[in-house]
Amino acid sequence: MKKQDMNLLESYQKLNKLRENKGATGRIYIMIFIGTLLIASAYYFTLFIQNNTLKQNIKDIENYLASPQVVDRSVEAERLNADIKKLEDILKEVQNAQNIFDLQPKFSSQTMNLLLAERPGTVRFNAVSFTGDAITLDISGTRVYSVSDYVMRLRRLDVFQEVQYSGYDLVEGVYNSNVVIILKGGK
Amino acid sequence: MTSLSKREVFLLFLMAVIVSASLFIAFLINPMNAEIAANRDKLGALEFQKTQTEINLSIIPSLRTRKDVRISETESALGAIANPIHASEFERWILPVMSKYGAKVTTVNLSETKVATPELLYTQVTPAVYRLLELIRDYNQISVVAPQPLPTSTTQLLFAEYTYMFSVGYESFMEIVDAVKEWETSYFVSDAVYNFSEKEGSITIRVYGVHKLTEQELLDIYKGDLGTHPNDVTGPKGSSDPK
Repeated sequence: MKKQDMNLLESYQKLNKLRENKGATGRIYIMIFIGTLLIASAYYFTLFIQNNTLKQNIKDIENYLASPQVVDRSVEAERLNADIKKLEDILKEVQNAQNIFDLQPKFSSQTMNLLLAERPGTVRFNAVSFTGDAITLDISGTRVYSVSDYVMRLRRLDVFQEVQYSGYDLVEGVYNSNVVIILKGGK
Repeated sequence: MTSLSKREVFLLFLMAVIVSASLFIAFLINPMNAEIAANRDKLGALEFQKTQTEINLSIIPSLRTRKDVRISETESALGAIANPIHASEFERWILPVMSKYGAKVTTVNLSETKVATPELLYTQVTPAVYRLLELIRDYNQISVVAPQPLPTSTTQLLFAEYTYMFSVGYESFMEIVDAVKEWETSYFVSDAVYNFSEKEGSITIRVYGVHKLTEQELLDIYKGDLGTHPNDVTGPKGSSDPK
């Protein structure tokens, strides 16, 4: 068996290299850890800046909204809007009533003149009454066809909603009748 | 103390990184992200509010104009309805008319003023429709327009009803009726009767009144209306003398 020579230097170098390798791995780990920490810190810093920017923007808008000039003008705008709404409510209510007034038939000499003008010579007016939208004529005709003749004339005018004719009575030589004329709305 | 193997060192390192990262995320990143999200929401709401405010501020001139227009429209609409009136004041308008046309007033009934909704004294006459008529119209391609529904009102106004009975000739009777109509206000002859043989007539006037936008308008309209000779009074709207 051949005796080998002991090489201490080589063994020392191997051992030293092993130790150096261990130290390098540790440093690598530490560097990775520090690197990770730095990246995370940078990210956190970015978020911090972003948050601060948001806070600043919020503060700017709050200051704008709270500025006396804006508050005063906002109050004025709100008051104007409220006033307009109230006025529109009043207007709506009034127009609502006005619609009724506009449609309500009106009794006038113009209508009566028309009724008189169409009256045959054989028809006499005893009384006239108006209620709401209807004119009731209490008339007497000297001939049997007088009243119907009159009613027919009134119907042909086509200015009334309806001319109601319900007959007549012969009393003391004259034919008494009541004719009801329904007026059109808005007249 | 036994020395750690490479693998163990690596695992320890990995664990340290994970634990550190978890703590960092849990205690720093997540709260910050939540705060940012909350601030973004708040900023969004404030920006919307700012935009709305800017819009509101920019339309103030047009709102002022719109308010003026509405005031004018409302005053005009209210002006079409007479002012609230007491029966004694009403007589200052109607009696001169009666005098002018030589009517001798015999009986007067004046109601109390109350709150009421305007009543439409109007009947819409609908012509009779039956099956055969419908078929004939259909054959002739005649379409019948359905009548418009009558307006209804829920508006409350001051209301009174005044009835005057008087002796007068027919023509004067109609002149009195016309005079009331020509006031062109919310006073309507709701009932009128004239007897040709007796030469007697009666009219019932429905009086609707409403307050105006400002008290000053009331005063302006009624200026000179009271305490003067009946013949000097103005009409209900203060515009012209009754005939």
